[in-house]
Amino acid sequence: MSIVWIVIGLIMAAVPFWFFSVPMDPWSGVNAGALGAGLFTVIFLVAILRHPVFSRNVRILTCIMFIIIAGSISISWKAGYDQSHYQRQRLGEIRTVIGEGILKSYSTQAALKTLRAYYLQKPARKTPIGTLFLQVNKEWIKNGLLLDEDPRYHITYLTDQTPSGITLVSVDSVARGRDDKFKNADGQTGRLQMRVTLTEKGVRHERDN
Amino acid sequence: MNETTKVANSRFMPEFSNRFVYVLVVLAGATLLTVFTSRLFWHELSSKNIGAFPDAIALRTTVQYGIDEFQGTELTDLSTKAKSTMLALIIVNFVLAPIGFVLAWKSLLLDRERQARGETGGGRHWLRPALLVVCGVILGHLAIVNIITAIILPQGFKTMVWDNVVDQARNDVVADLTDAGINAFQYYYLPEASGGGGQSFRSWKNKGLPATLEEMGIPAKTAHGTYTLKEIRNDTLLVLRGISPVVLSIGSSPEYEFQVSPGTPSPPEFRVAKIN
Repeated sequence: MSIVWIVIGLIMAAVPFWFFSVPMDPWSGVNAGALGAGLFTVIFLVAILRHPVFSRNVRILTCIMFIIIAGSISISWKAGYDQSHYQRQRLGEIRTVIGEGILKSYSTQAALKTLRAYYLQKPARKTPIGTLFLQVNKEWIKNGLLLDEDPRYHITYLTDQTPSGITLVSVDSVARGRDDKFKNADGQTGRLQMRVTLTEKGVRHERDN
Repeated sequence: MNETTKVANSRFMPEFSNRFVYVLVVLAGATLLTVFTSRLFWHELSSKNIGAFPDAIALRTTVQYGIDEFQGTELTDLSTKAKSTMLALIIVNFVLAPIGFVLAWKSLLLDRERQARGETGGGRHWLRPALLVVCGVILGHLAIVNIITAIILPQGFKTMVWDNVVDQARNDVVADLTDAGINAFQYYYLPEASGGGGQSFRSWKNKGLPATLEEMGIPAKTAHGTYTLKEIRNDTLLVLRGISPVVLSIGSSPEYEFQVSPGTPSPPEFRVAKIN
């Protein structure tokens, strides 16, 4: 009889474990397997403890032990589940904050430097701000890209350049943006993207995603 | 204890015989020893998933996925070996241990009844108490570790969430101050005709007064904090102060200063300083 119980237990734990397993999410399979095994344990205890050899005292003691063990497992299991998901989500958010700071720093700095140079020019011979941007940042700009960055993690495109102003679009290739379906300038989807516009009136930066 | 008392006790709680109490004492001792030993070598054992619980492996893997995403590393699904280990731990802890413990107990009770009737039991008598102890140790270990974890983990989690709230509040104030600094920098260079200071931090409306936050396009209050203009030094350095609405356990709030040096004649400079 014990072999039958073992086989039933194996099936009730293993089938939901493999059936509900999802790639990149270890919890779905583990939760399903543990629920199946827990259900099996309840059925098993109810069936076995009916035997007359177990007195009322033993049944009560077993129920108390089961409630204590199952309760503590459930609480610690739930805490572990919440904590791991919170940490994973929080790491993503921290990465986005870091990425936003880096993108803003690189592109805004280049724009502010140009703005400063523009207003420090002599009024009689003012180079237009869009043209001046290319002159001020000529060492960094190549094929429409602002180069002073690590291209593995972030990249800045000069998407629009006229004498009256420029637009820079920066993409962080790792940090997640607000919308997972957003099409980024570098061809990726759902990544953090910032936009900086420089005109005579000043620098405007906004987050595209 | 005379024979009459023994019989009376045995009728009152027939399962808790002396033999059973010995088994329970051995069980408790072995469980405590296992818990103690496994905690001593926790790092070595858990890195090989020995003695770990399936939820602990899932927790570690999920956090590792978070770290991989943070570093921009491509995620790889758990290997079949790791998944099989998790399933094996579920089966041992939640299926085999309860079956072994309860059936061994039942078997011992049945033996005792047979002995009371004067019948002889089957062979290998040592196997049932041994099974009872081994399965009991697994269940006891499961109970002790999970009870401790159920007490400690939610408390640690609350602390972690609060620490993150404070970190986020600090980041938000610094981000707002950076935006404010950029606005102040622009105000300095924009000509008066465009609503700027014309290479000055003085008010474009009234040159005798310092510019206000409003004139520089800096909000005095956002969802992340309250901002004030602390000072303008020699018209070459502007100091902003930001304070978060979050109250720390010491009773004060996160506070930062942000210095904007527009860069005439020295190069432009932005500097952030933590006050609290």
